[in-house]
Amino acid sequence: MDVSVYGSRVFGDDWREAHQRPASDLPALTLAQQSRAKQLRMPEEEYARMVLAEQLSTDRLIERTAAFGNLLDRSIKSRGIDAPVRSVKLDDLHERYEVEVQANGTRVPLTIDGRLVQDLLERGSAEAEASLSRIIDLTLGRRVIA
Amino acid sequence: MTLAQRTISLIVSREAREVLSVSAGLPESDSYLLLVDETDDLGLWARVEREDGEHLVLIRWEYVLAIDVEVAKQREFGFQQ
Repeated sequence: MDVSVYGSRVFGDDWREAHQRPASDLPALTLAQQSRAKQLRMPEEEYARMVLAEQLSTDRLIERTAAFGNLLDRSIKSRGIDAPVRSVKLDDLHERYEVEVQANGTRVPLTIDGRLVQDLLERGSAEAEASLSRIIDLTLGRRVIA
Repeated sequence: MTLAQRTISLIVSREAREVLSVSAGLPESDSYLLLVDETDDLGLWARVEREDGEHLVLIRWEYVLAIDVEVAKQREFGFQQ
């Protein structure tokens, strides 16, 4: 399964962690980043902390995206449908997941609202689980029983 | 698109520059790189680290001239089940 994240965000915990790390843990800035820091009249160390915070949060987004891909794959399998998940991409800018599954020899694209995934993974919402099942049934050809 | 949890470049008015310098301890500049905590009708709440700890600073919408959000960034990795 290919996992990717498009866009970036910073969670408060990662911002805090990046601001507590010793300077020796900070990433080296590229020339473009050094130039941007200078343009912003921002100390390079402060800029590097922002870069680190973003890296930490991106790692978390990738983990979350992979977790959703695995959950979706299991959910499809549990419904007796032969359609493995091939790729999952978090489009963070538009807050949605773009998934491709392999079904009947072709790749079928699915788009899942990021809020649904958040409800499912962070709150364990039964309603979100039912919505995801309905999406699977509708898009992968199973009859939906009301 | 929501701005919460995004790092943005914020271009503010001259008046805002002075206020941010005095109240938030930020260097006077045309633009700032800030993490937005959340937004509301009043403006955007940005995280600022000062000597006494973390602060949330409200920057009112009327002082915001432009917001620059980097979007062309993608990270990929293969994942073996």
